[in-house]
Amino acid sequence: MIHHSATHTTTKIRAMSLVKATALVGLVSLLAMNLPASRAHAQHVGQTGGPSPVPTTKILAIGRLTAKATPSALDKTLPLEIRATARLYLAGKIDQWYVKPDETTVVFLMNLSDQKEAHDLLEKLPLGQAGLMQFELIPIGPLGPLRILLADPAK
Amino acid sequence: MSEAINPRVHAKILPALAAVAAPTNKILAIGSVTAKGTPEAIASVLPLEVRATVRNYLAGKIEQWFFQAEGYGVVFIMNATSTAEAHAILEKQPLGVAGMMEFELIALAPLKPLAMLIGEPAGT
Repeated sequence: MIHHSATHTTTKIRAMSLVKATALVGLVSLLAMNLPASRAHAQHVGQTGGPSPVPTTKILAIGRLTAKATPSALDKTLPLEIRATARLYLAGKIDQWYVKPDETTVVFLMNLSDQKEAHDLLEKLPLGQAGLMQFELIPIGPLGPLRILLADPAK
Repeated sequence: MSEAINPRVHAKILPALAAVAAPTNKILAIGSVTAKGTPEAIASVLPLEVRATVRNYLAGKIEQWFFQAEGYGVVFIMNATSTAEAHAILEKQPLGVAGMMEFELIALAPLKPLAMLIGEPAGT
């Protein structure tokens, strides 16, 4: 099994993850998501040996420029986008915001537990409305595996 | 008051943004299980994995840690300046060594587009 190095492109790593996830789908049932670009991972939760699920405390939103995002289209829309994004931050919806150094991708941590609310807010942003950016949404929560450290101390 | 022309106001937006430095200072790491990572296999390695993760957190390498609410895998925000640096840390963790977990790594920098808002104020 090939261990991917980080020097591979993000696209390649994601493609391999999708191949593996697809293979595992046959073994476990997958939640049907109607929202765009939900990450398809093996659903070990609920299977024997799997950890208990964690509550959703944040939505990780990865926004990627689409093929339509030409320099002239971006030139027009970016000033509006940064202002709309800042308003979401000031409203407390975006907790943290980052950009990939090549500026093709933004990453937001949103103070939301509802993936649909995140989707509705982000698709209203100017780049989303112009079809220039698409968001992948990943609901995240506390680091559940820490639970295994909580057994009573040895006497 | 400065008489100099502010290039951020007078130039086109994209080249002006290029003049603002916002270097990579974090790496987003999204973990996913591999085919080798069956629930039973992972369960046997997990006690070691959790301890290695806590050590990396205490060492300041992992700044924030989360678990995916749907699916199986961690999400870390790591203090590193390159995906290679983050990869070197994560592949030493037990699940990485066992080939049961792999990571998508995304280099992150501060939100550079904010620089579009800091040109000279109008009227100066």
